[in-house]
Amino acid sequence: MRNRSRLAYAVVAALALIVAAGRTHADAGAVPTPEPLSSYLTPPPLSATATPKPTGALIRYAGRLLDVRRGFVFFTTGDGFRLDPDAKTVDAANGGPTKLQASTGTYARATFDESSGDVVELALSPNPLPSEASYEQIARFAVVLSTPYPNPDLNSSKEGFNGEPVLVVFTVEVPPKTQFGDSVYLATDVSGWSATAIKMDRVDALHYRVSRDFNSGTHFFYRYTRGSWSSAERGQDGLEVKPRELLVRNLDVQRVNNVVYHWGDENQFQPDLGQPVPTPYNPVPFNLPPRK
Amino acid sequence: MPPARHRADESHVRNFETGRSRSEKSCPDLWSIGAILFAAVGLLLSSYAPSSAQNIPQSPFAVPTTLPLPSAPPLPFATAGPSAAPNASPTPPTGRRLAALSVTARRIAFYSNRYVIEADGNVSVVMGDGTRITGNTFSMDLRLNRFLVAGNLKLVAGGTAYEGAAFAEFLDFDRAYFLPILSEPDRWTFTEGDYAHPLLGRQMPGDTFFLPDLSGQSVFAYAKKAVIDPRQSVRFTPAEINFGLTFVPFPSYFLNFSTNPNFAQNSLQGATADGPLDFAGGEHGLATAHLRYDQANKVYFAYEEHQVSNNHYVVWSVDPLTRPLKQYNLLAFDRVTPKVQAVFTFQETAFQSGFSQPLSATALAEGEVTAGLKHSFLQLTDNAFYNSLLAQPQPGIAGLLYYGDPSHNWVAGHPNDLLLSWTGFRNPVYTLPLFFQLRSSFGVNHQDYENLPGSQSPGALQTLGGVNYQTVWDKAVGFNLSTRSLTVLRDPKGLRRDVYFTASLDKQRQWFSAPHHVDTTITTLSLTKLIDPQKLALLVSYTNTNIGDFYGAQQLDAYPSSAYVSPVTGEVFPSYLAFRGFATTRSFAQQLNFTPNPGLTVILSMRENRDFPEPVAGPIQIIGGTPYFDNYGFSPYQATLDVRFRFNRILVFDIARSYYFNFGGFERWSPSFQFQLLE
Repeated sequence: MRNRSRLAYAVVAALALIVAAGRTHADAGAVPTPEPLSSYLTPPPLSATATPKPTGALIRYAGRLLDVRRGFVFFTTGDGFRLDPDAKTVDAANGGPTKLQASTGTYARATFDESSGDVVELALSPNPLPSEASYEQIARFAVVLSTPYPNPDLNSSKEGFNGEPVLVVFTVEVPPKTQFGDSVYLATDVSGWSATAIKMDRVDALHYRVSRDFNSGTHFFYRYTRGSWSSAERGQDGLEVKPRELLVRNLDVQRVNNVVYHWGDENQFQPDLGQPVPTPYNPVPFNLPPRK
Repeated sequence: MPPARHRADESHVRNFETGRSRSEKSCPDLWSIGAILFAAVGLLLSSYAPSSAQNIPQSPFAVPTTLPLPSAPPLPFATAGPSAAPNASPTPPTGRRLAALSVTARRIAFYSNRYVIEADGNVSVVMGDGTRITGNTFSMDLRLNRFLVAGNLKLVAGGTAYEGAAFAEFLDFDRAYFLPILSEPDRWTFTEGDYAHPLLGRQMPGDTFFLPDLSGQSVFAYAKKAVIDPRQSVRFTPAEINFGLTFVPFPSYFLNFSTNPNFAQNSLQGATADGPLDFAGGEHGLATAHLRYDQANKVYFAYEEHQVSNNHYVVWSVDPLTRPLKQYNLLAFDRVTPKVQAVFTFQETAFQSGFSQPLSATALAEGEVTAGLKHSFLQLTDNAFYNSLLAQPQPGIAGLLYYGDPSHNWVAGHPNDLLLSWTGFRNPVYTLPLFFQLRSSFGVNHQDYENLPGSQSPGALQTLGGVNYQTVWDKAVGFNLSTRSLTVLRDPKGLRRDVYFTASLDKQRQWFSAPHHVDTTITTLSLTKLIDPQKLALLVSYTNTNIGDFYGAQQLDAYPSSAYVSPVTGEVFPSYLAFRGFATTRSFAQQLNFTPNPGLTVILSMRENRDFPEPVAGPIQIIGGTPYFDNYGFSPYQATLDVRFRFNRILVFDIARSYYFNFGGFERWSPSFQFQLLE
């Protein structure tokens, strides 16, 4: 029985090695394709999809409405544009009449008369619309009473955040006594501090790693765990550590390297880290079956 | 001496066939002095060693962060618009104006995936200072901590009413941005609630009035009113909660989204499935009802409550509430000073109908105090086991002691363990790629009873040579020597397909006042080959664990020659006749990590064990609703496949199962799949 088991085990192990060997000629160094944007960040401005249009009498810009009121149409850019008294409201899909209301949250494509700067047509849609003009092309038509002046809060000489996705690579060095089969996780405040929020991959005996996409400017706190808060990381001094902090910068790839010195449930004086079930003192340091 | 089960895990089997003479004449007092000296030397060494936080070399995988942090504090989250983010606005003091705000509307929807609240129709927002904003639509990103009201907007503040198109409040910065409509539109900014002096025309962040695109997102809860405590919680009333198939009405739903990790502390036992419903709470408290399922209890309710601050937490629970076998749990933590913390846990397991007089009640209390020193730390740990919290009953049928019926037998005994340990920091060995770490401990174990009432067997901790030991003192010293990841074969093409080597040696000796000592040596060697640095890695690890229990002349008294039997099949294992208290576990493990893309990870793990004494297949046990084989020693062969698949940007499904190659004639696949839903 034991020889058969050993043979089966050897066959599976050999197959695994063959699969691994087959990968040796795979492309190396490829950075994983970034995933979609993080869920909790503001989406990028709609003007980002704009394409330049040759000079003409009409300019079409698509966005999302804040309000249409007192002869003005407001977009989520915060700009108010004058609505031509004879402006038409149409269905963006076919140019015909529409049952949609020009109200908050509705997607709209505004057609500007380049000479007057007024909106002469408003095409409505329940879904995002492609824009034909850039925001810069229509910003000059915005009506505002006061003279704009710089906001010291928005000091452009300092670094801002472009909101672009950044591949963040977390690598953590774990205590040498961490068991080979243990799983290590990232717990973050944005995942409600779930102790198993992001599972990491073991890359060698001392390191785990995981990559995730976050938008630049994302700021969050995190801790490493082994799947529960009783097994969360502790500092060199044995005390609970404050949550680590991450600010995602305007980079293509941001690497984060941390060291975990102790786990909360580790017992330096027991050779096992298996079952965290406390047991009373037993003089026999072995796990033995019952005697005959 | 009966070989009682030590622990349910499998890591205590080892073999020292010839190593019995070293400790036969050990002198406890000399060893005590030695242990103290060892600890003192360790303290001195670690005091003079440079801070390991500065000296641990970077691993081959460690690449320094590309850029330093900016000098000025940025926005807490990205402003995705084209403009730069405000950079120099520290979080202002949060006054009454920025306290909880109330939102009413025809319909309020909470999108849990995005932590966004949207409200439509007759929206009315009342801020902490009485400022009232009405409009068509309300939107708040709870994590960005800012809200927007837009459409047919009216702002009433400081006794003045304004009409406008939109109003946005950035709570973290105490800035309100307003689009008034006078003769023509304008742009106003209010700072720190000063509505009498708007800053006219001041430039605004580019995404101030953006509305999130929630198409395709599912609503978790609907309500008519929401009271939002920024960065803390939301109470929805009345609430309709999405249970997948339908929305179920509740009087209210309380959402806690505090960044304080202490709210995440958990005192409940494991379960196969758990549905928590927070229903009450505030900045420092949270009450949660749980609907749970596990194999033993089936569907049941549980209750848990948190009281937290930044430096402490108290969590207690009753689990299950609706089954007779209940657990009462208490978990408390306090950071007494910046360098001292205390943790206390208490768990009582009681069999009772409702909350009537229990028929059985056992308990475990654990206390732990940790004090950080300059280059080490001290830890005092106490475990108190209460075999029964109930008074000794009158003898019943056949003289047995029990409550109700003999299935609820009364067990005497109150073992107590106390341990004071010292652990040093990891320190580099000169300039070598080696680190050492020292440790020592001093403990006492005590059992109240020498002879347990109602029992013929001794209740003492240990009986040796006819002597019952109610109290056993112990002391231990140990060290760990480990390498960093060393590159042993470098990829000649420079593609980082290198081979890395790590090693660890852990050695410990523990002396007991019942005359014996235990030596433990764990040696681990591992190799890692990065076949594709981003996608494929092969890990190989060899671990040798030796544990020797040295009794000297009393070795055969402690470990008499006798066979052992399988508790499942009754098979006799004669090899145990040679077991004298010295065991070896040799484990050879391989792991293949394959990540073809960020959405898929496949991990194949293989492990082969050679143990003495030989392992014995154990029965199935259930802990936390999860069944597993409770073996004696490691199964000789094990293969585990773990597949992790990312469905979308917030949901990851992880499934794993092991195969044991017919160990014991009945262990093939692990009793259940392990699966997790991860974020």
